[in-house]
Amino acid sequence: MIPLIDAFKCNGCGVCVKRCPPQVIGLVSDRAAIVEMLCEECGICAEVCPIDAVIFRLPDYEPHGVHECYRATR
Amino acid sequence: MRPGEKKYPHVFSPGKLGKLETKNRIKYASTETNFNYRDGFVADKEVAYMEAQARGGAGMVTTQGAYTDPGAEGKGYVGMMGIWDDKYIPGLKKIADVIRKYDSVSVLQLMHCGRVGGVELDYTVGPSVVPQRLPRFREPREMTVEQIEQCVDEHVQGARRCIEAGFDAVEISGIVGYLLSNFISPYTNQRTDQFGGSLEGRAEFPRRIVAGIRKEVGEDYPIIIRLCGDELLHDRGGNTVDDTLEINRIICGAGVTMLSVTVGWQESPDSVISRDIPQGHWMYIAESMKKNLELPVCMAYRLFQPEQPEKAIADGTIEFWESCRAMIADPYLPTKIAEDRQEDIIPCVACNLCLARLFRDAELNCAVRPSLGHESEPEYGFYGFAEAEEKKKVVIVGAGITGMQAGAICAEKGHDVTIYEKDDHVGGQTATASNGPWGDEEFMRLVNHLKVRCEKAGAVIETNKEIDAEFLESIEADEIALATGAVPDRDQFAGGHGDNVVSCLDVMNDRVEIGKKVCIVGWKGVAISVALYLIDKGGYDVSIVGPTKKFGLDVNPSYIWRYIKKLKQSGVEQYTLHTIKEITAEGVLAEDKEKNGVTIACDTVILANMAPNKALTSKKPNVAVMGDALITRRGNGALLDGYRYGMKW
Repeated sequence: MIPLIDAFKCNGCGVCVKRCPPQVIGLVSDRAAIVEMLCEECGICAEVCPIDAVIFRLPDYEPHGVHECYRATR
Repeated sequence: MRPGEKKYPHVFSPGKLGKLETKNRIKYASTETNFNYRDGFVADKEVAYMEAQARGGAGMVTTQGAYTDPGAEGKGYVGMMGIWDDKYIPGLKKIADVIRKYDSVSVLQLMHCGRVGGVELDYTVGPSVVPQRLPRFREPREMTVEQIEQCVDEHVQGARRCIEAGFDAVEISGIVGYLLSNFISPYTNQRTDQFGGSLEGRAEFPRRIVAGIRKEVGEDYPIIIRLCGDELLHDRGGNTVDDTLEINRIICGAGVTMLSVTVGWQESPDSVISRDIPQGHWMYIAESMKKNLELPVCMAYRLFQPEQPEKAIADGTIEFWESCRAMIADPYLPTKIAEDRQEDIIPCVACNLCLARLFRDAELNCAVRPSLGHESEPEYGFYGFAEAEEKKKVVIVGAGITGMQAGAICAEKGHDVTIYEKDDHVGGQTATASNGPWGDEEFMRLVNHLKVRCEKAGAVIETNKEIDAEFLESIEADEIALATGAVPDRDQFAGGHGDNVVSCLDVMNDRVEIGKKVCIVGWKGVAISVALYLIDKGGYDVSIVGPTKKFGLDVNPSYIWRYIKKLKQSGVEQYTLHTIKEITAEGVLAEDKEKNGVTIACDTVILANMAPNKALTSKKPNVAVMGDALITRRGNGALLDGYRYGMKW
């Protein structure tokens, strides 16, 4: 599970950049960006982010096979 | 009969669990994975992982613990599976079915995490309000008698669902700080009612659970219970070993079929499962349980190789060899031992990365097996890599763990692989690290495994072959990878090239003479390793200097505290928050946080400020850089790089 940066939320404070153990987070256009191929999936970025802009959580429930939009009648 | 079965006849003799028979004496012990959904339903990933464990050849496979209460007070891990409602039965059934499919006995574990539970809540529950010592956990609330009685009933209902899901046996977890152990230990149980006080009182809650389950499941259904043999809480009012024995006797008397004995709590101040504990160290506890309780006993805890379990089973000490981390690292451990090819086993090096991940609400990871959690994805090659369509010629520079990991996988896919190594041996920094004290020689198991894997797959390793830039340019290959590792950076500080400055790698390989008074420049795990190595050798006056607030921030939390403790005990001076200015013939000149100049006088300065080895670079488009040569990291990053590189082609 590689963390996802919520780019709409990230304010570019750089805490995750400093704290990432393998040093694979940088800032791109003032937003944090992870070099995914080197990510060790440790979740420290999510832990240290002061505004919870790193999404690192298991799915709440089993994803449904059929998306809502296919069911909608319009 | 397979060759390993002759060598370890007792491990591979049929085992008995009540009236059930198992094909051998290896039991995969329960492990949380965090693979499941947050609502407690079983994920396919978990089923695939359990399938791997069953296919690996263990005679008995235990699921991860399932929490029994709807309020999720017992839930200690975000991805823990639930068993508090019948709606979970179909998911659990998938696990039972897949274990049965591979002729293994399936066991489901019921677990209420108690004091270390309530992961999604802002409190935990326990027998009494005893403040937490570990910052991760939330403060406990005292359970009422009604709540306790309800909790007993929830466990009984859990056992009923376990049978309905098709499991062959049920296991109850009462170890390391989970609810049952909280009731057992006088450290956390300060009640004065029927569930506390005397020895019998503290045993009452677990006893009722066992008795309740026994009544529900009938006479023949096996019940296993995991209990501590020694809590190792002697400094904070835990049970004595004798008290523990008596309590276990009461609990087991209520209808337990087999006891799985463990040691220590998460809050214990002693090492239990780290490398500094010799393998088989805790066997005496199983012995005492077996002798006094006259009940089948099984045990995990620092038993990674079959020799000790073989002896213990032959002596009648244990009935089953439980294995947890060793089988996370390689589920095929039983098969590989049976076929007498132990060199093929991916060896657990007790790095405890798995634990660190769980405590950060991340999915289980394994440093030595990156395919963990990807067993169902063919590109991860857990069941073997598919042959590559296009065969390539791959050249790798550096036979450290990254290079060998990548080389082995590429060769297994059918590529033509050559690995060049400048040293006369493989293993690189890992081989160097294995010279360290207190069990670090176990790293050589990993190095040897990777070497054998390369050899068997047909990757050629050429040692004593130093590659220069000219040769690199002349290599004709489809893909070239530089895995040249890390070296101390002599250019980072003025005076780094002086005669009194040596590399930490040379020190640990015993290649240089050093003075009696040494100063280690470095702030990460490497610096601590060198210090520990010198302490172990004896006769040195050691100091460490670096700019960080604490040393070893990159070291696993379950190791760093004991390393720092050992440094302190041995009188190693730690100059934290010191900026290094210059290295001179006298020693290291640094500045403390108030900008005062400090001279650390020493005979030899040991550089441990590891940086990527840039001795070899290339602009050729087919050259890749990986491992520490790219970014200096821990061993898990190095192996992951090698693995991902191998997966690419």
